[in-house]
Amino acid sequence: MREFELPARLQATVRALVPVVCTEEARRMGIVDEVARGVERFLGTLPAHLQKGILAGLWTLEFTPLADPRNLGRSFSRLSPERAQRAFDLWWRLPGPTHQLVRALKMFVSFAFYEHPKVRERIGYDPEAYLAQMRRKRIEQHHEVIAQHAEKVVTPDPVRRLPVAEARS
Amino acid sequence: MSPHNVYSRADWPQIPGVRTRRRRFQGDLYELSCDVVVVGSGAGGAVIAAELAEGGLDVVVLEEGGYYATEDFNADVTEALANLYRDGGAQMALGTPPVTFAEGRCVGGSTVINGGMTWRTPEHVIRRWREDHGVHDFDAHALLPHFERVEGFLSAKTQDPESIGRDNALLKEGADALGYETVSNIRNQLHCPGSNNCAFGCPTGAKQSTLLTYLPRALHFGARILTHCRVDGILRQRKQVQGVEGSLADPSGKTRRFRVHAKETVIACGAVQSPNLLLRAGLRSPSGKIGHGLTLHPNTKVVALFDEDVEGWKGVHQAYQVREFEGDGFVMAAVNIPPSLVAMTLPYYGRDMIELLDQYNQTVIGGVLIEDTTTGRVRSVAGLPVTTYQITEEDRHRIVRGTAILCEVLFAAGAKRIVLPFAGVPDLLSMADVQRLRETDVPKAAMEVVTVHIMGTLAMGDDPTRHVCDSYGRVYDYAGLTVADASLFPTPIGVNPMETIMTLATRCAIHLLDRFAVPAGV
Amino acid sequence: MGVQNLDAPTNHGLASARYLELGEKSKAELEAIFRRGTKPDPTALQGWEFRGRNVAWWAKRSPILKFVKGFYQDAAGQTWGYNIPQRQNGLEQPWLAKPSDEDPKRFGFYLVADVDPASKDNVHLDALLLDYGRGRNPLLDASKVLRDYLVRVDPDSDDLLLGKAYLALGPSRVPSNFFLLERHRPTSWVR
Repeated sequence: MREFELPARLQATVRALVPVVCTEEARRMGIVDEVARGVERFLGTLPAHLQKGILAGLWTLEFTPLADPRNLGRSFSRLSPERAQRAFDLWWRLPGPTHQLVRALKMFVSFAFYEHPKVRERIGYDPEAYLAQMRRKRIEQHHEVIAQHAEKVVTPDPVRRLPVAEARS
Repeated sequence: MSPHNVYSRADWPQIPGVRTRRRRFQGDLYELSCDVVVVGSGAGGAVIAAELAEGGLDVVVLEEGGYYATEDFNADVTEALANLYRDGGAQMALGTPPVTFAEGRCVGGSTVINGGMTWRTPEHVIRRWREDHGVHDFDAHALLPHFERVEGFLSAKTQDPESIGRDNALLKEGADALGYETVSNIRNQLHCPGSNNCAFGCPTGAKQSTLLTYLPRALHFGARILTHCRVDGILRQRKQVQGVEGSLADPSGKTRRFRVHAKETVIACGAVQSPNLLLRAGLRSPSGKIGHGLTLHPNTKVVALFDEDVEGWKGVHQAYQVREFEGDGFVMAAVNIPPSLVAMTLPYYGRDMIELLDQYNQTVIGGVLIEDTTTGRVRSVAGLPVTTYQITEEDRHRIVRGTAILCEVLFAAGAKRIVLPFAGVPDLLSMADVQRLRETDVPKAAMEVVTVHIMGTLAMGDDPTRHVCDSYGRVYDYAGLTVADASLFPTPIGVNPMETIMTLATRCAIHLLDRFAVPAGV
Repeated sequence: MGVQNLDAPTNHGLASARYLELGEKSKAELEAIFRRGTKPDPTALQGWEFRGRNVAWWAKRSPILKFVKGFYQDAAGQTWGYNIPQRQNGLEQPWLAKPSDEDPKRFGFYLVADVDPASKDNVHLDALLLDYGRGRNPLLDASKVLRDYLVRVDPDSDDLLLGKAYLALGPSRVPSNFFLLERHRPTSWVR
């Protein structure tokens, strides 16, 4: 899997986004940094043109708060949690591209949050253990049929017309 | 699948028959010759490769993605998106609304990441293709042996009852309560225990994707599979196609060029990449229809909350389909997805999202699949495919109606709240609210539409002025070039397309074998 | 192999109603028929002459509206063909060779071949190529620039054929006109 790293400043932006999108729960669970890393991992799966678009969106989110005097010259990553929440809420409510931007960012952050093992555990979702159990169960109960089918898959068809094979032989 | 004969980008110097041509400025060029080169290893490519290899031809399969075996699959969605999906599953057809679609990019292609539904082409579709598009030898009788052959390798059957999870049972209960017809899904599975990880690679080996069936068969009969090969050109002398060329993407960033020379070239990289390859290679069709006719079965999902524990992730993906409204152009199913993907698509964040997903184990994810009435297009811009698709008013109504009926089914099964895929439309809390949804004029822009069925951009038929390919996938006006994937569909089919793709690929293979058997000039 | 209808050929040299009707079709309609046409079987053409007519606005009053094309097989099994000029006595009238039916002039020879997709003459892959350039015509014979592509009008019959003529001008292939061929009479002539 490709490694993808955001610029340090944008890593801070994403870290600031995590509690906004996923509530203070993320901070309480101590997983903000890991969720932010998960966002980078997810962005690493995307094609370059989308990555560039998202980077542009993150820069926009980071610096737009500077234009609001109530933010006292702070960018998004340096806002207080309340101000960050307010800025995000405002963008979410506005129609058009600002909504699309924060919606996309919300998608990445919420995805990474729910991919985190601690969050999965919190909501009672433990697929790995279940998968291991299913794997074992299938082999134990059906190993003979499985082996037969694997054999069938590579067995030449005795009645099938094979014009090229025949022509060459 | 034994990795024998599966070669990654580092193995090229060891591949039997490979020549290395030294080039002063552009780096070494790898060259390989064979009878047939197949681009793509999914439902179309794997099947045609196996059939041709069994027929005695020297077959090389080129796959852009990597090779991952059953043991590599797990519940790490990010890893699956990176390894198994093209562009992390985030491709988009531009339009209002944009339609997000996913394609496989790994050995086995989309069969590794699909839900495993194995349906024969519906009778009315077979008739339409034969009568409206002149597809030769195309009736239920002629297709039967192909269907049976495909189903035999795929072990297509209904699920073992114990593998059916509570989410599917609830959907069926709701449909039964309303008197709607449901069918048990036929799936390509061998004693699937219901691990519900189909979309991220089957970790139990139960899903009989081409990774476990047709590709091992192809290898058994001598085919070679080369991974990480991005094909970007078609070698040809005027209208005689002579193979393909492309690059090997090295993880370190270094790329090498390769050429595979072949008597026949088979393009099977899906209904977006296949037309893109033909267009970027400068091929022209007498019909002018390369890339036209895209259909994609738009679908939407709802999240229904129940009081009881459902644990939809324990049990098979889509055990049933509600087929009552197939004639009206839509079918419905329970389609559990991991919480990370549910969270992504929810119209909520913060406290609302957390509270909802705290009840993930009490949710049923329901999906509606629409048989579309319009077509989109794939263009090639700077070598990349650009897909456009505009949902029609008729399909917009179908989506709303289908979603409303799905909600009725889920309320009949006991749902207490349903989150809709329509921005700005409040959640439904009771059956009475469904009527409100029916009366709501949901704008297209508010719809969250996704798909995994991309079809029909190199349509087959008997008329070179309307179709790009003939009845057996041969591209009109070019020699040595065949298409064998969902691009061939002249219309959407209304059901999951995997078996139809495989059946068409089987026909194409038989036709190609017949042509190879006849000495040239006779 | 296409069906050779031995009852169908007219020894009185009159065109069929279908042949005349096809000749009235527009260029676009003929193009559609041509695109859907299948490749004739050269062995079903050998030993036969076909009555031909050019379909083009300029052909109506030209000395080559009506013509005959003949096909024969050489000792090596290769199919060849030739043209015979006809009296321009109207399409409803019999095809009468010039100077006479007993001793017609044969000219404009061509090789009958499958289209090689890799060659320059590859405009229609699913047609039969009548290649005048390889027809062993005299050095300065104007017909050497002709390339005709021939398809069946009906998928299983070699009795009625639609042709499309091209001019080979250097590397370019310039479309000229459509023409129709209908099975006319047997011949034993060989060059």
